[in-house]
Amino acid sequence: MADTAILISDIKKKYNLGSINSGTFFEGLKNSFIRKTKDIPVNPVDSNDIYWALKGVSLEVNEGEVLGVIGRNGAGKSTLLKILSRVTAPTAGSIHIKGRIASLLEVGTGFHPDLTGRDNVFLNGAILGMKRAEIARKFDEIVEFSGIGKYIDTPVKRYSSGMYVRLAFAVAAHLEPEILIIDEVLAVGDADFQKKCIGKMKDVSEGGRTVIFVSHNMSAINSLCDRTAYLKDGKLEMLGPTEHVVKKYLSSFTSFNYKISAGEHTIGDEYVRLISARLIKRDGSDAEIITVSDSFGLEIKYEILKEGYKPGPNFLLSTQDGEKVFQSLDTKIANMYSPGVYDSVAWIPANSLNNIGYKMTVCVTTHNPTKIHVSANIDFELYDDTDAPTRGDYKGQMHGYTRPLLNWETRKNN
Amino acid sequence: MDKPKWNISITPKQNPFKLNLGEVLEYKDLVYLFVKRDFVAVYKQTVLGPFWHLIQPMLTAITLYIVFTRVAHMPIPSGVSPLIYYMSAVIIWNYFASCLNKSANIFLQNASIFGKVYFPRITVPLSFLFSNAISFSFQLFFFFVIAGITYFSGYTLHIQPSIALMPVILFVLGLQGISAGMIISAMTTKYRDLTYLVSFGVQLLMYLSPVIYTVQSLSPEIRSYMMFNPMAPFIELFRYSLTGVGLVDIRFVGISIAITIVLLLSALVIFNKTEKDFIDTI
Repeated sequence: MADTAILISDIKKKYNLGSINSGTFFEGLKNSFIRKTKDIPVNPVDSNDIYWALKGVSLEVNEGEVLGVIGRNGAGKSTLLKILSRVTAPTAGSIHIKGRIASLLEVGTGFHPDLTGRDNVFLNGAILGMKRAEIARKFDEIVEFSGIGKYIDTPVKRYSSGMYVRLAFAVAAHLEPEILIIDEVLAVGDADFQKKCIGKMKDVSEGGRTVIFVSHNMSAINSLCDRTAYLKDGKLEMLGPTEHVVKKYLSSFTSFNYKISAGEHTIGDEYVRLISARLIKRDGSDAEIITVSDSFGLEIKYEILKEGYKPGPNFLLSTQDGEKVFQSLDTKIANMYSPGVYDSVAWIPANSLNNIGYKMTVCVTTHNPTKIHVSANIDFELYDDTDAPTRGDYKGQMHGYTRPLLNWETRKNN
Repeated sequence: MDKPKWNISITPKQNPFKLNLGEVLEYKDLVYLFVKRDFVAVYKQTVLGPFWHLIQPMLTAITLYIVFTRVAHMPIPSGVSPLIYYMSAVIIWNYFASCLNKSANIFLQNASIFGKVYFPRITVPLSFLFSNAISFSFQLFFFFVIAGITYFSGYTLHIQPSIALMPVILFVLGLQGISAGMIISAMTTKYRDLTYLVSFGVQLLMYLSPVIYTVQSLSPEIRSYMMFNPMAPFIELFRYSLTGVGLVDIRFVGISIAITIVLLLSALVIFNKTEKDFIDTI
């Protein structure tokens, strides 16, 4: 077990969104005066005005580990990094760090447009915590890595944005702190340069240094990070092997949108109109939570408006990543094509799907010749059930798009 | 887990008196590069370049001479070239004002960089101290050139032995300037009004300081008010050293140093407190 390089304990960060301290000097005076005399806050700091960007995050990062941090915008990633890199202080909690820490919250920090590339390498390096001698020693390496070459003595304001970023990243990449914090650097530069960056970061981490890497780029996270922390609404939602965490994160992108009702705008054409499509439980109520060991149904209500086609309900089930899982249609609806309202339920047996996010494309289609009258999507996610019969004593991640309960036969032969 | 192995602790509150001078030393190269940046970048795309350093105090001195001596007929101590008289005060005042003005904008001007990377923020005002001292020394050199010219055109020079105190004068006035600036810059993170106040406030301050006039020329009652102006004795001392004109009261110097220390300590506390999370309010 490696030593802990960063120990984050119960970090909280509060932001006041209210108007206190945002006005002019006299407003501030007035506020503090009224607060003192009347003992009540003006511009009341009600709960709407306080925003907890971090609501108590605890995390341990091991030495030499590359930890990914993912989460949607506003989940608290940037706030956590800002606190880690000492740009702002936490409201509560503490962080202990072993070793020199350097952060790279945005490349090109402190680049002065009028200075040459060379001057900026030195200035930027020093801002990031390097000594002049250290920069001088690595200067050629930095220039070579950036690919700037002969333009190194040109003011950076003449650089293209790509050159600018490459030079900035090159400086940062040659930092040698024990702990490196990186945010979103790979969002820029061409594919070649990104590959170079990932390679460099791999070198950095293989050199035994600790890296915290924040990105929305899941493939970069996947290829670089051993473990990943998933932040959600200021809390640590999940921490574990990158593969699992990324999966969980991706599946969260779609809300549990189990129901469509064609209210305001009609879904359909002049022959068929969708009335509603929803997931239901055995008793016909809305299935808001479905576990892997529940059986649930897809209920489709539609109205045939005109004769002329042979519309029938069907659906395609795919994963959130778009991988098709299976397709199903009602094959027993012969002659039910006259105008009128129909409802149809397809039952999906218990213990057939896995605990991942799915997308169900619900259609009403005439198959020969093909005409899609209605098409709508339902996004949903199955929750795991620790007592699911498909698991038995196994408590780890079950892989795959489906999780069917198979009939196993194991015998003892002697 | 044994505690001492951690070398950085991040907690909500930190001792505001903790100066962390060791850390500042770690970043001394950064101070050097900030100073260099100030010199290299400022005069990019200008025709006269660093000569602006020299032209500006010279033109100011000539203007003061025309306005106050020729038009307003304010007396100038006899035997001293008016150009030398004004210029000596202008260059030391410039030094102080520039320390103050630049420091007063630290947080607003550097918000984007402070918002992304940590380094001891104190390195920025510290670098102003050096860069202003360098441009001051150019100006001082130029002053001596001008003084030489006036010498050959008949004026006598009255350079005093107290010129040896020059580094002390610079140091004290510089500390006053950056301390006041740091306090203002901390307050501007909340109240932008102050940014408008600073530039004309510094101008007013000049009239309250013995730049155009000398303490000597004031009536005794007004003179005692000068005690409360910590810049006054050092400006006076500076001009006295170069021109022999001026009145330096050792008590005033003592009071000034005391005020400077209080100002510096409060500036450090306020600055430390602000740098922690000003980025949230800016």
